[in-house]
Amino acid sequence: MNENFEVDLKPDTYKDPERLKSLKMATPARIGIGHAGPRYRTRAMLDFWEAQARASDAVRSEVPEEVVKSLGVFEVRTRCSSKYEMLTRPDWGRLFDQEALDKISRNCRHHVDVQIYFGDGLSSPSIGANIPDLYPALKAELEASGYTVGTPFFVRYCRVNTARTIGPLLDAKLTCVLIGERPGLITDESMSAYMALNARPDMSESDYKVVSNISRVGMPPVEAAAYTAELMKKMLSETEGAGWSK
Amino acid sequence: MPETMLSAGIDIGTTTTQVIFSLLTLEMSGGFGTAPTVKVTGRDVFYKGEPHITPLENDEYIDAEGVAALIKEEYQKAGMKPGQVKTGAVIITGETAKKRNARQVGEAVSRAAGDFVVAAAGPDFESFLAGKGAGADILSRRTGKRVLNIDIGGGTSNYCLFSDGEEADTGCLDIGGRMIRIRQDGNVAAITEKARRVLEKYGISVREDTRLTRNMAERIADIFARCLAEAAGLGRISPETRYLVTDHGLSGKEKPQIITFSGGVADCMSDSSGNLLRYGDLGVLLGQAVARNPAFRKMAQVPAAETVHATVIGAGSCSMSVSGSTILCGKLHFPMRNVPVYPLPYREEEDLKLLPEKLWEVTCRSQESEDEVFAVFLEGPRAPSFREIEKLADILTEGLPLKEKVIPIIVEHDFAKALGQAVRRRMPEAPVLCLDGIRCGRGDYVDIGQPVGGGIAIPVVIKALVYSADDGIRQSGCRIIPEGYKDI
Repeated sequence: MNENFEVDLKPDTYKDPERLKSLKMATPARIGIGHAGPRYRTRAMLDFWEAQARASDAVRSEVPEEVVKSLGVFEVRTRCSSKYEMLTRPDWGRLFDQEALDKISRNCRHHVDVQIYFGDGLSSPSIGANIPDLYPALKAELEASGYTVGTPFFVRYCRVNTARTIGPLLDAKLTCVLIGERPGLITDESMSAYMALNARPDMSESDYKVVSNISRVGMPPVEAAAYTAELMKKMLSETEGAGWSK
Repeated sequence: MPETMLSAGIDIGTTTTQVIFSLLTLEMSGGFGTAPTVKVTGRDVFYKGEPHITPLENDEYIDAEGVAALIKEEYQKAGMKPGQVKTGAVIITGETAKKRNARQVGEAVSRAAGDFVVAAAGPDFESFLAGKGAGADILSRRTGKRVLNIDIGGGTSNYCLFSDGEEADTGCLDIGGRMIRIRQDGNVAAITEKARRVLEKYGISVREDTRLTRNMAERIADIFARCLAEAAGLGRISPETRYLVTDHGLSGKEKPQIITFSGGVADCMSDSSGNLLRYGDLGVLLGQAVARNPAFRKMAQVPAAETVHATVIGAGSCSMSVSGSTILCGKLHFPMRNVPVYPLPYREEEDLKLLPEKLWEVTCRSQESEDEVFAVFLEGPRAPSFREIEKLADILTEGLPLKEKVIPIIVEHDFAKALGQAVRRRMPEAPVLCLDGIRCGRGDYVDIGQPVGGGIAIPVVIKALVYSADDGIRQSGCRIIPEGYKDI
C-alpha cells in the first residue's frame, strides 16, 4: 500500500460541488444550504419563508369551487362554517347537519362495496393535485375486480372521522376518505387515504388503515391508487363469508 | 420479520474455480402508511472455498466433468445441498469464457447448483461483481469519491468505476498473471498471442522455452503494469494498451479518485518474500510491478475488502436485486432464465406517440432471434398521470403478444402496480408480470426468481451474457455437456 498518501475517507462535501449536487439530488430535505455566520443565507431564508407560507396557505385556504366542479362531484360541508372553525373545533369537523346528510343520502348510491369521498382536511391544494389521477385509477381497478363503487362527493371542512357517519349512512362495506395531509416544508400537496371496514359511529382511530404521503414527490397518485385498491380488495375479501356483523 | 436466502457464488475463472456460500437477509420495510418494500439488508459470507485450478480439457474446451466434480466437493465440504440454495450466480470469467463450451457448462452448473442460481459471463458483469465483492461500491458511497476497482486475475483485468455507490463505468484488459506461464527454471511454458505481440514491440522476443532472467521478467511485468495504469486513466493510452483491451476500456470521462485492487494478483502486491515463480506464472511479478508503478503510486489506494475472492463473493452475494412494487398474476413459472430485455424509449407522455412503432420493431426483432421469452424495459416519468398509464397499457396490450406468452414489463420509476393493474384490466385471462425499481440497458438479460416477502417483490439478476463469438451453442451437444451434472 502507498505510504506517501493519506487517504481521506471522510466526505468533503464543500470542496466537491459535484458531490454536494449528488447528495442534494438524493433527498428533498434542505441539506447543504450554507450559512452566513450563525444564520441562514438570504436565499435559504426566503425559501423557508416561502415553504412556511405555502404550508400555512394550504391549511387555511379554501378548495376553489371550480376545482370541485372540474372533478364532477357535488359538495357538502361539515358542521363547521369556516376554516377557522374547522381548526378550532375538531369535533365539528366530523359531524354533519341534517341538511348535508339528506343531500348525501339523496345523491348517492346506497349499499355499495366501497364508498369513496374527498375531503380538504389540512391541505386544500392536495385535492386538485391528486384526485384527478388517484380517484379514476382506484375506481377502475375496484370495478374491474367486481366491486361496486359508490357516488363520490366533496366534503368541505372535513376531518377523517366523517367516515364514522358516511359509512353507516350509505351502508358501504368499506368507506374511504381521500383527505389532505398536514403540510410540511417539502410539499403542501400530500394526501392520505383512510379506509375503514364497516365504519360505525363508535369506531376508534386504530380501526382505520391508511396510505399516506400521496403526492408527486411522495408515492405517485396512480401508484398509490393501485396499492390502495389492492389493500381494499384484501380488506373486503377478508370479510367475505366470515359472517361479519356491524 | 426478516426472511433469509442461501446464496451460492461460483466463479469459473482462467486460473481458478471458487465457490462461496452466503446468507442473504431480506427485510420488509414500510408498512405503516407506505407501500411495503423488500430490501437485502444483510450479506453474510459463511463459507469461502479454497481456489481450485480450473479443469480444462484442452485449449478449447472446459473439462465439464472436472468442474462438476469440484463443485460437488465444495458443496459437500460446506454441508450444503443444491435444494437449499435459493439464489446466487455462476460466472464464467476471463479466458475461460472464451472456451467453446463455456455457455453450456455455465448453464448446466447453474441448473444443478440451486433454484435460482443464474449463469453469467462477460467482462462487464464480471467487472461489476468484482468491484462489488471488493467493496468499492460501499467505499464510494461512504467517501463520496469515485472509486476504481481493478480486479487482476489470471487472464483478464477487470475495471469497475463506482460513483456514489453506483456502477459508473466498466472496462476490461487481457492482462493477467497467467498470460505468461513460467516454469521453475525460468523457461517460458506458454505465452498468449497478445502478450507476445506487445513484447515484440519492445524488442523482447518471448516464445515457448525462452529463458527469462529475473531482470527481463521484471521489465516485462513493468510494461504490463504501465498498460494497466494507462487503462485506469492515469496516462495517455498507448497503442499496446488499446490492443490489449478485451471488448472495451473505461470511457475515461471521469478519473478515479481512489483505487482498490482485487483478484489473485492483488495479493502478490505486498509480497516481497518467497519464490517469485511459485504460481508458475507472471502473477507475483505483475503484482510487484503494479505496486511499484509510478502512476499507481501517485494515486490514493485503499485495500479491497476482498482480493482473490472478490468476484466470487460479488457473484454470491451482490448479484441479486429485489424489485420494488410488483404485480404478478396468472400462470407464471419461476425462475425465468436468460430473458433478453428490450428497452423502450418512454420518459414523458410525448414519447408514447412513437411507442407503437418501437413495439413493432421489438416484436419483430425478438421473433427473428427466436427468443422464447423476452422482457421490455421502460424508464418512464416519475409520476405519470392516470390517462398516461391507460394509454401506455393500451399500447402495450395492442403491441405485444401478451396473451400468447408472459412478457415481463420492467419499469424504473414507481408505477409498476398501476401499469400492471391497467394491463390486467385489459386482458384478465392473461398472465401479467410487471415490476419496478429495476434499471436495465440495451443488451441486458435478466433472470427472475420466485417471489419473496409473501409475493410483494421478486428477486431479479440483471446481467449481460457475452460468450465468445463462436460459442458452442449450435454445435453438437454430445461432448459439451456430460450427464453427471444432475447430482452435484
